[in-house]
Amino acid sequence: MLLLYLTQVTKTNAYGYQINNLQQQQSKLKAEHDDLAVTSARLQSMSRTQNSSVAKSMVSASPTTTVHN
Amino acid sequence: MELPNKNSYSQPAATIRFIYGFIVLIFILFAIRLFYLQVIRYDYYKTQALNDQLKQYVIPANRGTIAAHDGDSTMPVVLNQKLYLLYADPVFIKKPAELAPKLAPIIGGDPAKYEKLMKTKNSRYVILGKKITKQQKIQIDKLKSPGLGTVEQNYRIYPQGTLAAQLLGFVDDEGNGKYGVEQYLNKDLRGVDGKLKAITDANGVPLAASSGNVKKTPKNGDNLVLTIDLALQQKLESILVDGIKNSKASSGSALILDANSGAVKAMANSPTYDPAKYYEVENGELFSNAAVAHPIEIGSTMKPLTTAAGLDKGVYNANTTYYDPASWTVNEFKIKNIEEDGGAGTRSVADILNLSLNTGATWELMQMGGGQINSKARETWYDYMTKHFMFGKQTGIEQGYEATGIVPSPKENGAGINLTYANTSFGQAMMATPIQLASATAAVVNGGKYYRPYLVEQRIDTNGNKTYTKPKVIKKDVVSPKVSKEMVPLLENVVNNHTFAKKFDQSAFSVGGKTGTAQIAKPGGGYYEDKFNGTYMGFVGNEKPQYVIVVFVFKPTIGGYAGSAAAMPIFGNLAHMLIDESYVSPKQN
Repeated sequence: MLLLYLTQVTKTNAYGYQINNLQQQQSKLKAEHDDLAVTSARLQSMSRTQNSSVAKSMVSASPTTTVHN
Repeated sequence: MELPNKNSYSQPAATIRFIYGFIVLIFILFAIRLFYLQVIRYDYYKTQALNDQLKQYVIPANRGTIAAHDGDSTMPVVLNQKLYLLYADPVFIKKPAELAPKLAPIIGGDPAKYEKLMKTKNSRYVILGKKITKQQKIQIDKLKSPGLGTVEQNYRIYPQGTLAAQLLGFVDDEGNGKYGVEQYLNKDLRGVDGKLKAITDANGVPLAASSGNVKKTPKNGDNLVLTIDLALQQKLESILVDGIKNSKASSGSALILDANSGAVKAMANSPTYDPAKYYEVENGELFSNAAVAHPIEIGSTMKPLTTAAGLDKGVYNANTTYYDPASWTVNEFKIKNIEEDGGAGTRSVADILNLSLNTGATWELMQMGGGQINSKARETWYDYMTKHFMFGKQTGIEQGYEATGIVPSPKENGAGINLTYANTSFGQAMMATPIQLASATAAVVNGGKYYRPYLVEQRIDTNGNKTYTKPKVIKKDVVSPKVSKEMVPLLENVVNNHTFAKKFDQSAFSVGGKTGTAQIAKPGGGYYEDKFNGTYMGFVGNEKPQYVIVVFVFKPTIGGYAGSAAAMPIFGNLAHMLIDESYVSPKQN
């Protein structure tokens, strides 16, 4: 009985290390995800878009007159 | 044969008995000691053992992110990122002069500054840099300099830079939201930290087999989606900055509000600051969102509200004319017109707004008292200011430090209360914020509904459940729908009679508004003769007003009336922008 108990406790504790490793991995991936989200948001930011070469080559399409039906 | 002496047997036996007895005694002592340690001192040693094995960890909740509208989709404006704080222990830095030039190219900044910091005396901890990236940390580690260290920290990141900085607020080093949405909704954004209490191994790794482990999962903060339209926000900020520069003003605020829901579409102040570097800001006033926190005497932008109150009370109608003597004497003080031409003559309600007649607004107040400023007039006007237009109280917008503004009591105070009230009819002797004026204006032109202004459109909890903010009507009958309908052409008429850099096509769009030039009160009483604030309130729409725009410009110095010279051009540019960028569609008929 004692041997069985010790075996089970050891096995369970081994799972604990696996859980800990997975949690660390999850935390690392979460941090990477956050980094990518920040990079993505920065690339799409209003000021970056406005200052892009594509935006700078655009011309204003402001209506000068309004057509009535 | 000689038998052994009896004494020769007894000597070893006694020795054996003694040793035996001694061993037994030792065992008894051990047993007593063990009994003492294991039974009597059980609790003490159990606690001691658990103190070493049982570890308690805080599992920090993730602070909620903030997004805003970008067309039909949303874009993040505040995110979280794990970065590093770089510190130095000057005691272990042996050659600061050599280390500083190596450090500066990695983290940026002046080597001399780092050298000075690393030479700090009587300190074991100096911060060299914040928001150090992982790549920078790797480079710093390669320097292998004892005395340099990094600590992982959660930071708020602002991908849109300074955009909407003052309405967002920032988060301090303790994780507390300061100013703006971050402060007002700090509790919801922050979430609740979790907890792990577990028996661990020597390295602090929790042992799964322990039945006594306790884990409380953290509740992450809510993610928010604001009502702000990012493109509109950026354009408003750009137009405001240009307007402040052109009018050589000290600062300014502007906002665009959905007249039919209370949703704030854009709101900004100039100058502003970078929330990512809030700790570098020297002037604390920059943190404040003046559009909700800085009440001023709003000047003649009050006149449309006074007019609407009188119309709603039925003491005159939109076509009423009266004789205006060009001055009224109230409490032995002459009320005159300081803007436009206010000479004596027959005037209409439309003239009061178009010519911005202080005497006209005073006349309107007098009508509320049956022809004179008395307690009835004061009580009636006070009721409209506080219970219809909601001045003198917070609007409830999700912003830290929202101001209430000031509305004087109508009670007789023996100190010229009638003069005070005459002044309130044209926006002096009372104070309001841009958001208060915008919300009241919206109610006057949208049919009479006062909506609580709001900035948070959605809350998304940690499980992804979305809660939408429904527009909330605070008061239904601010003015009657009939009066509201009459106010629209009265304000359109003001726009038509004033010169904008680019004219408005009123046949296609409805654009109305009113300037205000307010004197600035001196701290010791009275008003400055040469300092004014310029204000503008107005709307843009088609068959009915869609957006309300309010502009405050503080202390412009370009000459002319502050309202028309400084605030009106900003309104004009914002109104044209709404039309040109198709935020407002043309009238159908």
